[in-house]
Amino acid sequence: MLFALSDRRLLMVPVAVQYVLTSAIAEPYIGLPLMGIRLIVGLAIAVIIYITAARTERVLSHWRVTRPERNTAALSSMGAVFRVLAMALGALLAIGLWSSDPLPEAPSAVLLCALWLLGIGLSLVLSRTGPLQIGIGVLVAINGFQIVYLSLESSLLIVALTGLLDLLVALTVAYASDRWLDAQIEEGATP
Amino acid sequence: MTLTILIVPFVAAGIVYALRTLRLACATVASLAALLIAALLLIGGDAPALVLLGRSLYLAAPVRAHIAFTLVLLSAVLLTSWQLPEDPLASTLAFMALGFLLWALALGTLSLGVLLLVASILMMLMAVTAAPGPASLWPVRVLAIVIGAAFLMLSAAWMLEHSAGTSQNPGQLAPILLFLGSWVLMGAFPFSVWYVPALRSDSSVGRVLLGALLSHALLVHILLQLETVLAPINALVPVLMFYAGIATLILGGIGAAVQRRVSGVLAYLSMGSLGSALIALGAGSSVSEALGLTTLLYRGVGLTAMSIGVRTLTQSVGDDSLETMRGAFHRAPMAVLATLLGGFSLAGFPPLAGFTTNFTLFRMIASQSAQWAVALAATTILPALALTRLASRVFLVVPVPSSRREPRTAAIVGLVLGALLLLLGLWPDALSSLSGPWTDILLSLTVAS
Repeated sequence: MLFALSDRRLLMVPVAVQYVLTSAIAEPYIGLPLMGIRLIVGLAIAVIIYITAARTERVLSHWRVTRPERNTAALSSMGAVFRVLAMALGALLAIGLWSSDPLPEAPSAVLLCALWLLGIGLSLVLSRTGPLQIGIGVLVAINGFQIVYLSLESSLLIVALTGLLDLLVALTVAYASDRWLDAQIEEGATP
Repeated sequence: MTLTILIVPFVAAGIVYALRTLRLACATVASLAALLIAALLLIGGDAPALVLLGRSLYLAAPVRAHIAFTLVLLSAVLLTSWQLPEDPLASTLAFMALGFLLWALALGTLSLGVLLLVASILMMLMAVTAAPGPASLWPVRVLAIVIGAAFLMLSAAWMLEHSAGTSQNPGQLAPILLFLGSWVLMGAFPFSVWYVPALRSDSSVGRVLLGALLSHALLVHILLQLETVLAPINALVPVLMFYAGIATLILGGIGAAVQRRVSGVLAYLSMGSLGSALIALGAGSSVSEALGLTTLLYRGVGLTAMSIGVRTLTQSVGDDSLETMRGAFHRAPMAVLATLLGGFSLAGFPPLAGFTTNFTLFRMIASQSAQWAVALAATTILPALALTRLASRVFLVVPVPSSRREPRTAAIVGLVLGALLLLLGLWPDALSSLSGPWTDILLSLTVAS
């Protein structure tokens, strides 16, 4: 769904579903009360994504009508250098996880989900051209990492801080997306 | 005292947020709050470790000194935000970032420290993103890189903490992952890919947060960790620092030479100067360690002076491209001097402060390898050429259409910092002669601390 949906507003659905499922997976390790808190944080993030996406869609749809010759994908980026570095980081992470011994202690089902989410998140980051979609890729990857991490380290402070970090990342994504949109409007207004 | 230091930044963030629409009051209060926190960090010198909820909280002396130093620079920048407008949330985000960073550095538990460090960097990233600029995807891509680094550091933290609980040997992988994560966040070669666009943004607060506060905190923290969690690789780290420093310096020199905007020159000069500091810190002797830290101090002042100068010039002539700088000296003389003094010091040009450290560094390298010394000296000529190009334009006697007079307070602050670099260049011993105990703390690290 994350790859298929073109309407940014609908992206909140897979994001919300993902937080429900990952909270359920983490429940045996962090307990029911903390699972509830993680679920609330996840749903709040989905709402943040929806609000940001709604504004982006509204502005961009108006913009496409008024300036059809411009393409939102043709923006400055760090291009190939970024992709190679991101891939290298991903590979290093995978090597780090596999070649050391922490993984046998994580249940195999949890590990499978985590690696899957990490892979999806990384692909989104590398392949999408909008700040919101890239940000969602980051959130998905964080979710993947957190399932394994919380199955191994489930102290109250860690769970609280990972929740706080999730929220801060979502806010950063919303903020960056908003600034990108403002800059687009300014550039669109300038001949 | 430790708890007060850790809480005050969040209180300051709240006050500054309440005052965000009153620009003069907000700038003054934010600047004073930064100075107050710096003073608290210095006064609370011998505060014992605090235990809160079973976790130990302690700020080591070098960490406190370096954070206090960068807070003085942040205070100068916040003061100028009255005349050089930043985003209304920039000051609030700066104090939130500072608060999280202090908690991260104080916490004895590595995993919690990493999570709080990432929270701090996210705040810094938001402060930089808030600056006006062209539509770009770099903030979210930087976010992806920061989160990637956080994964590495959290994996390392888990391995180290797990092995401490079960008395297993974590081997070398955990320290390597921890160091690699810190390296990515520091933005040294080859991870400068995220660092340069951030420093190029039109925000002095963001530049000081990422270019001075974060760099100082991470480098000092890495050096302190060489005796603890990074001990298994403490022979490898200096070597990596040395060679990555060389690459960073060369890349910074080449990058600065090809820039068409003064903010771009600033970003690459700052990167090159970080390279010089890394070379010195990686050289392996106590003298070179002090040299590296001195380079870092001069770099902080140079970065701040040039950043204030560039923003003042941008406001005065309307743009920061080299072409629009023709005749700028006649409209903004103090800003031009601040930019050039800060820039030439970052480039290591005589008679400024940066030259004293670069000259000592190259002489030290020449004693081991003359070729390396010549190559590095050659790369410092490139940024000097970029600055000479700027100087050749600003001093032209031509009319500057639609320009206005420089904002006086901001320009004076920039010029004072630039003059300080000139003073330290002409009188290199001033730093130790005038403020001995203070510089001792700033320059003492690892075993010496």
